[in-house]
Amino acid sequence: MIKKTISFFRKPIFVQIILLSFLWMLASGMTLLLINLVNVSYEVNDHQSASIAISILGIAVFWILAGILTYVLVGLYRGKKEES
Amino acid sequence: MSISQHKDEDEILFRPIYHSGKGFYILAGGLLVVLLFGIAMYIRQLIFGLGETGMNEPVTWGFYIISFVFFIGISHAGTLISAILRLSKAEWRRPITRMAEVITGIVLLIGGLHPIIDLGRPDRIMHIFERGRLQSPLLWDLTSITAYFTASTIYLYLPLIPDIALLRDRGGRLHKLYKILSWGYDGTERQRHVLERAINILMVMVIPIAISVHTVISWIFSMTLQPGWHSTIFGPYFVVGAIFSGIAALIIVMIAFRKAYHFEDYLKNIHFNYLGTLLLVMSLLWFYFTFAEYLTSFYGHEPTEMRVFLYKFIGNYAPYFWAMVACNFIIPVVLLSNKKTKTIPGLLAASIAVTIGMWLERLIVVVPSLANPRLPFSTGVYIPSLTEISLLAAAASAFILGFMAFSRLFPLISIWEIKEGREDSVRLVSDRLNQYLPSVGHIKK
Repeated sequence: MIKKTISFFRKPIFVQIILLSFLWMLASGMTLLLINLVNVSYEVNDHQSASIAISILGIAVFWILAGILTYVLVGLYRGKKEES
Repeated sequence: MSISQHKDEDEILFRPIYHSGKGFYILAGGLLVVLLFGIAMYIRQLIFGLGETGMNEPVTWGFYIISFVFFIGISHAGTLISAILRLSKAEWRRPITRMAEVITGIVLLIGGLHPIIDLGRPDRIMHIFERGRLQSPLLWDLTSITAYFTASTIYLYLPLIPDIALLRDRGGRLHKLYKILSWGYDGTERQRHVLERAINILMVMVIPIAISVHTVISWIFSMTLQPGWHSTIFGPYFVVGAIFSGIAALIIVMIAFRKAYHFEDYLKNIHFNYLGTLLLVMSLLWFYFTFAEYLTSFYGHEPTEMRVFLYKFIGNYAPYFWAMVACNFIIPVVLLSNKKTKTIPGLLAASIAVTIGMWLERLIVVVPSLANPRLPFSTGVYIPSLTEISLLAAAASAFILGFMAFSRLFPLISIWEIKEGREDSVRLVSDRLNQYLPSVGHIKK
């Protein structure tokens, strides 16, 4: 079991998963940031319409980008497996 | 497999990765010195504060914001131009797209750092995350630039995967890195389909993101009531200027690396001819927007607007203003509308002029309006300090160094796209012709 775990950490897939998770962390981080900023705008009575519109657009863009990269990387991995 | 076992018809495109001459290291060393000097000056600014710069009241923005707008503008070279060329299925794009996309990645990184450099207390940037006000265009910028950088990096990376797989199969010192980054790409039918689909989605996505980035940057200025800034056409004006400077930067990079790495067979006269025409069109479009912008100010004759107007046309900033007009309009139009001068050296001269001119344009936008505010201040004076000048030089060095570093890791010209072009372009183009024109059904595939 330990040997299996160690060998997994040495495989490129381990690094690849970490790289991909960075993008998801960025998408999640931006989402949290924008939600927080919308909350702040409510607190200080700012003009919220622009804040909300920008947040919705921004959040969508980051999640779509993360989704595209995941689709490609999973697709490439599966494509290789199926052929072999 | 060893490198020597591979002999590719596009071998020359791999060469910069495995071989670099003395000149490469000398240039890299020189640029590194400039970059380190810039970093040292920035540390000095951190210690002594923004008093080390030429910024003052009322001119509170200087070289840093000018360079920020300038570098973000150049980023439009890459992803936007590459996406438009891909989307329009322009076959001549194949040797160009990679370089264009690399420009975007590097300059976005450099440009994005400038607002932080502009802060006397960069540690206070954390306040944005806690209590930032999303009604400020500065925060819209943060969102759009981060989105553009993410999209551009993915858009650079995805078409790079097949080339990384080629490098992985050749072995060599960075074999492990290539193995990780190639994600097991073997060029199977399914893998190609997945990659192609994702690139198609991305190229449609990056165009509005790229346009939004420079529009939002223009809104930092135009959402204020500052004379010379409060304009409805600033969005498209900035986007046009960005594409204009981006094409110029792309041409300079192409000519430099064509010469340095002997890419003459790939970057041919026809590519420069097409890009030259594009630069000429953008020059005319830029002039149209500039003319429209200043004519409206002049015709309105509003006193505060006229102060800025006269400051640019006949005042302290007149030399910069007219130099900008010469660099962005007169020089490119004269050089590129004449067949005799529309050569590679002519194109290089025009592109260098445009790059300088577009930097001056950002200077003309930022400083005169701040120096002549609506509030009852006396006219401000801005003289950049050595810190600001050295950081501008450092930014330029970082750009060149970044490009050189990329060329040591990955091919600067998309190898798989060149191969695909050789194999499929004639068939694809004839297929399209058969669709466009009813009478050419006889074209042989």
